[in-house]
Amino acid sequence: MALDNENKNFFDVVGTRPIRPDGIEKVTGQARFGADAYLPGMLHGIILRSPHAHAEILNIDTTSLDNDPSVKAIVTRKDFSPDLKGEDWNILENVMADQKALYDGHAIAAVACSSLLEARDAVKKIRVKYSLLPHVTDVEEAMKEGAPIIREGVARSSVPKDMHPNIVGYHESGHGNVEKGFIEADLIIEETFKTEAAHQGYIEPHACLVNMMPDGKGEVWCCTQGHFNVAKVCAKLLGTDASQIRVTASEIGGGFGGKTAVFIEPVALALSKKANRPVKMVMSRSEVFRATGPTSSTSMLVKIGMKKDGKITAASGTFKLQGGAFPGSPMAESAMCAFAPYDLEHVKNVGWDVMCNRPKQAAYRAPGSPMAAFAVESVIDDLCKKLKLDPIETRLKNAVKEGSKASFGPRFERIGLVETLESAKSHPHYLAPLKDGYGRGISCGFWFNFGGETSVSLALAEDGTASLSVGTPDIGGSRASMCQIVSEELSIPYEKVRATIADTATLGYNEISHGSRVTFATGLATIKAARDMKRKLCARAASNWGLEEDAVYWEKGYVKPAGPNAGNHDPLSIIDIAKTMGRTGGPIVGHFEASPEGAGVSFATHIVDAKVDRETGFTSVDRYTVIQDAGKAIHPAYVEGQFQGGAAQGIGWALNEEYIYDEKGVLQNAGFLDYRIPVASDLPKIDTVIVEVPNPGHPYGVRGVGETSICPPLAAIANAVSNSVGIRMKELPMSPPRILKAIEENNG
Amino acid sequence: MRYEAPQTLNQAVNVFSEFNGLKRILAGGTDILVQLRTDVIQPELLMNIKDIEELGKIELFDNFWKIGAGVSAANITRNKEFSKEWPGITEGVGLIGSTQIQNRATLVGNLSNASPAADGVPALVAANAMVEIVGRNGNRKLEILSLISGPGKLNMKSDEFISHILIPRQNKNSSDCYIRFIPRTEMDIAVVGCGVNLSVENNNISAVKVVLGAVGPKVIFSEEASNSLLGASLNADSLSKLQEICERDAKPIDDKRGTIDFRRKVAGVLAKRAVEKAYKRIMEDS
Amino acid sequence: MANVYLWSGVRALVAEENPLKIDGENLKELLDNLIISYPNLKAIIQEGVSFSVDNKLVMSSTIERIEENSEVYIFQKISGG
Repeated sequence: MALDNENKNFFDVVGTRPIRPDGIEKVTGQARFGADAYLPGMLHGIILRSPHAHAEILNIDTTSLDNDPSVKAIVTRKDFSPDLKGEDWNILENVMADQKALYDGHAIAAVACSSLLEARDAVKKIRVKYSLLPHVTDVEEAMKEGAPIIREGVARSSVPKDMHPNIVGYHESGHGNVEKGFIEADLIIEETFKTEAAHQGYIEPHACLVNMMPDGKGEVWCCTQGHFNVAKVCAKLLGTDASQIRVTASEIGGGFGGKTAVFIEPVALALSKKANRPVKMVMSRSEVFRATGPTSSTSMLVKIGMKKDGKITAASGTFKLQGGAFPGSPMAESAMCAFAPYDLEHVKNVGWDVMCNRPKQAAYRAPGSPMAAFAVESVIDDLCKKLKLDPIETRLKNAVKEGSKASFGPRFERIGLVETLESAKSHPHYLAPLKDGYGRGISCGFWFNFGGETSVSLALAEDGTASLSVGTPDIGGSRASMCQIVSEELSIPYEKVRATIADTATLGYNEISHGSRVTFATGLATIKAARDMKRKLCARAASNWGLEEDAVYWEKGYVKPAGPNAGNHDPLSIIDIAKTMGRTGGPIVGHFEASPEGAGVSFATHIVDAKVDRETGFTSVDRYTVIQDAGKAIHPAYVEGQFQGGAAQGIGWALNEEYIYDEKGVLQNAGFLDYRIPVASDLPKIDTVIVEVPNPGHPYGVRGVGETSICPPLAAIANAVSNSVGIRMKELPMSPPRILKAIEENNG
Repeated sequence: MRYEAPQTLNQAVNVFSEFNGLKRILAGGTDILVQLRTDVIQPELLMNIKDIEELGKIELFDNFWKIGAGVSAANITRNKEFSKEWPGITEGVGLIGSTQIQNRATLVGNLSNASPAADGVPALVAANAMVEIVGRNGNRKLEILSLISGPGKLNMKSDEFISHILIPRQNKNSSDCYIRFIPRTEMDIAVVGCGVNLSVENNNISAVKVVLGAVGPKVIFSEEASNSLLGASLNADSLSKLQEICERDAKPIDDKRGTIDFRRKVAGVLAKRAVEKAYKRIMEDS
Repeated sequence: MANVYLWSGVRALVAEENPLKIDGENLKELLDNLIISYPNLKAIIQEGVSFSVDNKLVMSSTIERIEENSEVYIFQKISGG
């Protein structure tokens, strides 16, 4: 009975598009998000934030609140664990400042009051004495001599000794000899590129409701991509046990990586601990922009050499990413993803992690990869233009395939880049003539995808239906996919399976929903849990019949005797077995716990048509096509949604989204009015093509799909815009003032 | 904070004029509620005027339109007669916020907020609209350019508030237009706006008013640009002259929404496009 | 003995030909033996690494089996969004 590692190629349910199990709650407004929780006697917490980009905190004076009856608790850094190290210390320092305010919006203190209005008034009465320090918010400025040093002694051991103290991480990888490769080139282009920080722009702000009881038991309700991580981080920051903090994940109104980090939950717990009452906290939109984790801004230098026939002879890139006032920008990811689509004999990837006075960057969909692709794919586009080569043929000529040596080291297993390029080449979009004034842009993109700790439990109900508990918040439709998988494996209808995001006390540790891992890893765990259940169903039927376990087999929802020797028994359905399970051996539960690897990397190719109004610099994106390898699409509509979402966010990042700091280092656009994510009418209909090249590391062939879709858009749109105006745009966002300036400089 | 919701204009005048502290009018609330939430302002009196019947009407008299301070943007854009006569003013009103916001927001509120970027204002100025102001000492009328003194500032005494907007009837062979530039396609604030009111006789421009928004501390009436078109026919030369003057007359600042250079250039482009569009409307009507 | 490839940024620390020949039945043993042979890699490895074993990407799980002559790449730790 080879249930365990059987790879499936033919499906009944997987690949269909059933309605989403969370649909009714979402469309009727009954779904409960982070802020939709209430407890009797709960207080409201508010954080006091630094108005300065960089300042020493000389004194926090809360005496004016001493006799205020509405104030139930005040916390500052001294209310958190004093002996943290490394990244734990970094997280605490970001959650609540110690000696210095490191960026505009950095948390300094917090209060809890009976009402929100009282809390808002109370927090204003705290007097903080600051001594201002010089600040820096630009990645290049931060590396200049004389730039204020954010923190001494944090550089990782891999950073060469002579680098600026604000450079705290260094990465170098690649193979061959790029100097030799450049000599072989017919044309070399070297360019610098810059991108501004973008925020994930999730519509739901961070929110939580917590209760810390006097005996040390904590309860947390919050919107997060990883509630097990919230429990772990809160326990560390408060100096208590992870098992004592039970976290329940709410429905989540978008995360995109930004809700992998922890910001307010430890503060709310500290307030609750002091007040001995439940505490609710909801970030304002302004707080979300100022004090959560946008992506890095970058400065990048890329050099590529090409033969006249389009063969790349060598490529090198230096990717400098600022990650705010903390180490940890995804510069190694930028460096390793930059040239990953191309089979290169000589390649060198360099990454610098730079600190400056901005909030601690957090993950944003394929962290590091989209910016690197912007630089690399822009240079490839220019090379194609100068050498009069077709952009897709040229990419095909250099594309990696199974067995190619990746720019980051090993050889690729089975991958689908060539398939996406071939599909793009014959797509009606690419074959359609370009409308007057429009530019067309092509780009490829790459992302690794992840596995990680996963634990699921699948319980059989007495009526033969199934209840699946998973520990990965559903940020992209995973409950639908998981129900399909159980339905597929057990041969019971999709509607007979309910998937629930279980709290941290119910399952083993689950890694955060990140790295496009959920449909891969939780999906794999669900397959294995269902197969575990099938094995138990077989064993139960065998025992009912008085047979050995190997004398029965499973077929499409039934246990059957294996052959004539096993006797003449009618097949038993899941319902038959479930009905009697209580008295034939007890409940039947399938489960699986592991840290699956082999997530299967993925590639995408995007095609964009855009037109620039040459008088105003306004860009309209007219047509967009996403072609991506999904390995195997469990629920194709959700996969298409991920593809479209990546393109939509990419359009915003490419054209208008940016963090704007003034000369004092204060964020100028901490709201959706001036931080311009695209509105619906800004977007064209985004066409999608799902390519399915199975991942050898998954029983159904699944690859992650959530992140790769945001890797090509910045470059594809930049190529379309550059082709429309006839000028290479090297800085993001390509906002109207920037485009108009480029046009005028080009004219005169 | 004291909250009042008077039922008549007289009561409103009494409540408002007798209160001496920091006070604000609540009509649509689409600006004031945001300001309250973000702590921009903490008034001691908030006076809701939505219950006052006579402020909720759009009335047509022999030679002017009278729009009450409580009239929502949606009720203006929905008024077929008014929007046919003043398509440009209607365009401006129809660009305030979103559809949902327009169901609450009022044109008087848009004007009273005195944002240099207000979408409702340039076309009103171009149309020679006036406001009716009520206060302790009765009513007075004021031109909009004289009403606004700077960003967020109005030339009104502390006992006064605006009750109505008065818009003249449109002339024959005339039309208006408002266009704005935003980096998105909707739901945004003008980086530059331009309102134009135009009359044509024998294919030549017989009257014109070009008004620029978001390129100065308050809305700018470019007299020189307007004069440059007077008596001229609409052609590449007259338009490029107009564009050049508007670039010069714009006095923008550098901020998160745009640079000085960018706004100047776009002011010229918008003026040109707005004049062309108004002209086209006249030609289509005749 | 597996063939172990380090990212080029740290090769200077081992001052030897790439790849290194290291013993180990799984990634954990291999890392332990790597640190014994090259103590100056300890800090870098503790700061976080990811791997590929015979071209399969392994982000963090160190129970991954290593065969004789396996090709093991070690990268700086990569993380997702």
